[in-house]
Amino acid sequence: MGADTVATHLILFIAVLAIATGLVIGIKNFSDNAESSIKEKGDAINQQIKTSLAIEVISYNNDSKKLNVYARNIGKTNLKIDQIDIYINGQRIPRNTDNRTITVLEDTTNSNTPLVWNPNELIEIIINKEMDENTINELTITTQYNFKKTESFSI
Amino acid sequence: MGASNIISFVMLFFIIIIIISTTLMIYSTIIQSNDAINEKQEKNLLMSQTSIKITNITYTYLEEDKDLIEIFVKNVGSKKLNFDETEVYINGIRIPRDTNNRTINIINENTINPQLWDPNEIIRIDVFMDILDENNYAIVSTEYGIKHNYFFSN
Repeated sequence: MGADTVATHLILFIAVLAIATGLVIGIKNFSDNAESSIKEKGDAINQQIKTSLAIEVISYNNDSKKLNVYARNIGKTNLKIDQIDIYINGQRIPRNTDNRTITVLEDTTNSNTPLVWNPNELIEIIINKEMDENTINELTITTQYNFKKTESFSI
Repeated sequence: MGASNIISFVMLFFIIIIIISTTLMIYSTIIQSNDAINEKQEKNLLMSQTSIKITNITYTYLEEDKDLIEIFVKNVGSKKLNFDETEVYINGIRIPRDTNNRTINIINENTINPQLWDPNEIIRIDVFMDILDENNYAIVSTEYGIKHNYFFSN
């Protein structure tokens, strides 16, 4: 075997090694990305499945023009009340105290986390909004895990 | 065995390791989702097995600014309930969980579990509040969000 042939084989060997290494690194990166996105999606779906709430009462005070809503966390996730959104007839109620207040009712909780709505706890939502009488309305509550609950009501 | 063969085997080994670890991770995610779905099914089963019915409401005038509303509620489902977690609403107003505002007692003499609201047992909820309207309604809800409402007049 001449020196030319050895050199050719060596170059070919290094080229194959480089391509194979690149291939493995590429597959590893793809696999890592796929893993993390599947895990992320899986976690999100798990949280969504574990989340559930029940709207117990919706009442409207004609004098104060306030809508009172009581809801119970009947799921197994801890929900942040500042990430709850309220919609009335498809219209979002902005997250500020002029428009809405959400309070975890003290006599339903054993924890010292007033901003977290734990399982079995009740929240009171007060919405400042003038409502029309004799119309059917729809209230929707959404949580951080994309769970939503809708209930119809009329005043 | 040539060097290229060894490299090929090493590459193959790494690729197999990657495939196995990815498969295991996907499998564990599926298992987690399965657990969440099972929990959801259990919850739905609990909810479907829970049912209550307000059988009667009586109204008594006690004194000025204080009336007594007695609500009789039967557990018509097949699940045992914790009546401490029962909520009562009169005309949309929530009655706080303290004895100044409400008391809950099982009225059956031979109760199976004194601290639980067993199936077929009736509880009496005494609510102390001032009722101004003639036509009123009460809503009672359980820990699983199952509720029943009843209209009454004073």
